[in-house]
Amino acid sequence: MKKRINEQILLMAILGLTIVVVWIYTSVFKIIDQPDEKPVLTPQETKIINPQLDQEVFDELEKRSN
Amino acid sequence: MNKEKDEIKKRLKKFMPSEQKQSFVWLALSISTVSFFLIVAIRPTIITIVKLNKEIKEKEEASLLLDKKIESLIKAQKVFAQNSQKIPLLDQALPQKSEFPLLFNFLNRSAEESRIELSSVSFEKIVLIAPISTSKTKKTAPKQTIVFSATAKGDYLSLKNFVTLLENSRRLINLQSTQISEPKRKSEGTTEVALQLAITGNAFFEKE
Repeated sequence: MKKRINEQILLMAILGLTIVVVWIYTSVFKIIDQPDEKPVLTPQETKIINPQLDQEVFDELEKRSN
Repeated sequence: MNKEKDEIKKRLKKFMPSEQKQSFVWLALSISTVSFFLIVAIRPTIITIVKLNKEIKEKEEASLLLDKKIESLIKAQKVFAQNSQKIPLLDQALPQKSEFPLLFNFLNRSAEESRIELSSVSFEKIVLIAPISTSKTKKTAPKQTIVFSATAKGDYLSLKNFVTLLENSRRLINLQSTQISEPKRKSEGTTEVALQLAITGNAFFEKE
């Protein structure tokens, strides 16, 4: 009977260790997948302006009467 | 003497656990210690490492994006400097304010050029000084168009010329409707065919 109790304690310890390892694994993946609450840049900051200018617009505007 | 020794050994054996039992206890204790440190020390450390790595990656991406933005801004600055003399043209096309006097002047000049008689010109209600917004009142988006309507009299070709002038105006104007009608003749004897033109349109300006 005593031998069985010892085996059970060992089994519980191994089970506990396994649960802890799985818990750590899942919590790490949860952090990786979870989106950020506060993004580094605001949507306005991420906008990149196009530096190319259509020169024909100015020519067209010059032709028109004001 | 030997008997006494044997007796002591027997008594000690009662208190001392067996080797197998000892190893079980040690193994269980070791596993429990590992589990304890995993929870208390390793898990927070791993989580912090992962969080910091993620943050570094995001900040690197943001930095790259900002570099691109700076690059495009420098290019845009150069283009702006090259075309700085032409910028007033843009202001004329899309003024910063409604500038309805200029619009009225343009309509008047176009009518004179087309040799038509401008009967009436009307603009929608214009707010010259925006009311001070309080916290209770909702802030509405400023309008970017000014609606105008005009009526004119003249012959068909002149009216057509007037509409063409409006369409080719430097200021951004959108003609919503143009209607040409023949008014009732006062005297039957007149040979001149005067038509009436009614125009409604939008003139655009930049958001203030």
